[in-house]
Amino acid sequence: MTFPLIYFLYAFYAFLVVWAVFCCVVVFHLATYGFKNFATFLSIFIFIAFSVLLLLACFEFINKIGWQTSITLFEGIVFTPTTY
Amino acid sequence: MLSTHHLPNHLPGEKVEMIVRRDLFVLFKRIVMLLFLIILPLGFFYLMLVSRQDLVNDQTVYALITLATGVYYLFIWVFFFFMFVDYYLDVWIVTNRRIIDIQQKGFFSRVVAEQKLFRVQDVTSEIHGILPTIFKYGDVHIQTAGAKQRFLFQEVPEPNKVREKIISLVERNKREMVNEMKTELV
Repeated sequence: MTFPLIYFLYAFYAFLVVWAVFCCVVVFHLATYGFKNFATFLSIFIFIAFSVLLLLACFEFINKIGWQTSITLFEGIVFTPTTY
Repeated sequence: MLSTHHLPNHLPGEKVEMIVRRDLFVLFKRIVMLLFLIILPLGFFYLMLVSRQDLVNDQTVYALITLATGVYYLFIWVFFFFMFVDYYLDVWIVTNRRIIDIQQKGFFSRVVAEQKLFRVQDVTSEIHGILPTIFKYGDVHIQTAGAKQRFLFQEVPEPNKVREKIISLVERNKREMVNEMKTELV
């Protein structure tokens, strides 16, 4: 069975959507329920800044990979139904 | 946004006396756990480089490792930060009139409860264990006559001082109430 490697990248993008939702929830909680002070704003800033840095680092590595190659799984394995 | 000047259901003449959060050591324990989780894949990569370098040179394996590592660190970061949010948003506000208990429970649950100081019947502080004894943090139980009979300040710093402060505020509040009633009767 052969399929392109890029399918894994699509799965990663799907994960990123879920991750972005969690990030929004975290920021929402802090912005809505946190105290109106410098610590809250600093926390939100650090969270967003570090998240962006992590994403940039991820894409730095991802861009170096040739996603057009294909993966072959179960090569040479022939599935035969069991007969009784 | 919460503000000490604009508390929920602000009462006339109400003044914030104390804002209590969990002890910083609780946050420190979580940071240590995060550091361990950050280092864990590095150890795995080191073992992989030592034992199976051919796997790292394979482009497919490299791509899968990159994606898995990305997923791992992104989720670790968001969960760590949520642990911080959980620490930061769990707060007990003691005013000269009432106690407000605000608890963030998980991603989508938040509980806010309050109790008038004159309803407080008994305040108990507890320190159990080696680390709480060394770092002086513990629980404060507040027994009230309300529907929610017990408030719990969990893992707060200096629980004995918190208990003493609450007891003094309760006594002061009760004295003020008696004086107000006397003035109304006169």
